Amino acid sequence: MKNVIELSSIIFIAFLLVFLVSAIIFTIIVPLENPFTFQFSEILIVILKLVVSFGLFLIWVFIIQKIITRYLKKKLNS
Amino acid sequence: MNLGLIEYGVVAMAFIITYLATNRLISLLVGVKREVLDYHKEGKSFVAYPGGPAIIFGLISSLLVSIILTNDIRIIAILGVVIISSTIGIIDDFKSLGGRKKPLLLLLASLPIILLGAYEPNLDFLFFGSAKLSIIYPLLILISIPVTANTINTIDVLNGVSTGFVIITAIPLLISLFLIGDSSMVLVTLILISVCLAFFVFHKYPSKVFPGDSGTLTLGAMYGAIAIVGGVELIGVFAILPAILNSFFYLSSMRDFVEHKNIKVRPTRVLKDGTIEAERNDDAPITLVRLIVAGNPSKELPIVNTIFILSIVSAILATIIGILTWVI
Repeated sequence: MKNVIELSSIIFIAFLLVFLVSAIIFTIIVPLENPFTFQFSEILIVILKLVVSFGLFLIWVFIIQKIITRYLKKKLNS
Repeated sequence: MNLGLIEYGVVAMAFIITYLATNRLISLLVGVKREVLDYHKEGKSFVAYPGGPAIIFGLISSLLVSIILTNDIRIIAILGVVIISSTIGIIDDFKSLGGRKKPLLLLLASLPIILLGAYEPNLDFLFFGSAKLSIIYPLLILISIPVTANTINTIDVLNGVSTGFVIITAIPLLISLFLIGDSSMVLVTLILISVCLAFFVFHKYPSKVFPGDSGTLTLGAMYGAIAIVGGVELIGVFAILPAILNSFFYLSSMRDFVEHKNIKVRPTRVLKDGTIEAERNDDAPITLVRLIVAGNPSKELPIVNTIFILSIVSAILATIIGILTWVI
């Protein structure tokens, strides 16, 4: 069980990042008012919010993947 | 919020039914030689498979009694999710559906929640308050059930992991639902834990039975359904983070929905003495087990215990978020 502390740290980092992403979504993206007045603008703003949220999710995946790949390389070379 | 003696009786009934059904099923499966190789043991060890029908029987019978007791439409929706996901799982156990077809079919398991309207389109999160997602929420439900079902399915690689993992990660849901005061969902979560505990007696290391896709998909789908219907979605996400990471590593390294049995280069290798070591080949998928044994070859039991420790870490973090959200 040598790797348990390092893996727990990775879980904790992943948790903090999910927390951060959720905070951004909850405080900035979701409450965003619709600035447009044209027809179907409601749908457009929903799609925009969805795309930005998905982008944040991809950033989370990218960061975690980098951390994991570095960890695996270090461990396999040790 | 109070659960009466009858409700606790239903939870005990779920345990007894699953325990007896699993015990009987193991004898039946061994009798008809329906066993699979336990890949991570030294020598050739065969284990009864699939034990999922016993889990399904325990869940469905207890949920039916709960519906009679509570008359709660949300439990009917959860029962619908369990029936559809278990049907897909049983088909997959006997005739492999393939890596892509399975998640697509699991979209159907989300329908009972959407069609019965057994959800509130709000997400509650700490001091950030509640977000109303009227349009997006049904889409999130549609994706969530296949995600949780496949997540529990993907982590089921070692003896006792899937059921032990569900037991540990259901506790934050239970605490959050208790704090909210939702007695129906507390009852359903206790049933899930109870059924898993009964199956875990036979599934723990060294396993006498494997749950198969029928067991893991059903448990994962029900876990997701409780999180959605009970309005504790984010707690569920935080709690199963190790399994979610496992699924993402696997998917991103394979770049496709590939079944474990169809992997060309396995993530780990089993040495003659039963020690499991990480595969050095870059083409091997990244999995939680590979990360655990990387530079640290281990026997199966310490790896299982490490997965449980990581689950406890994420369960504690999820519980803290739950307490902060609904107490403060």
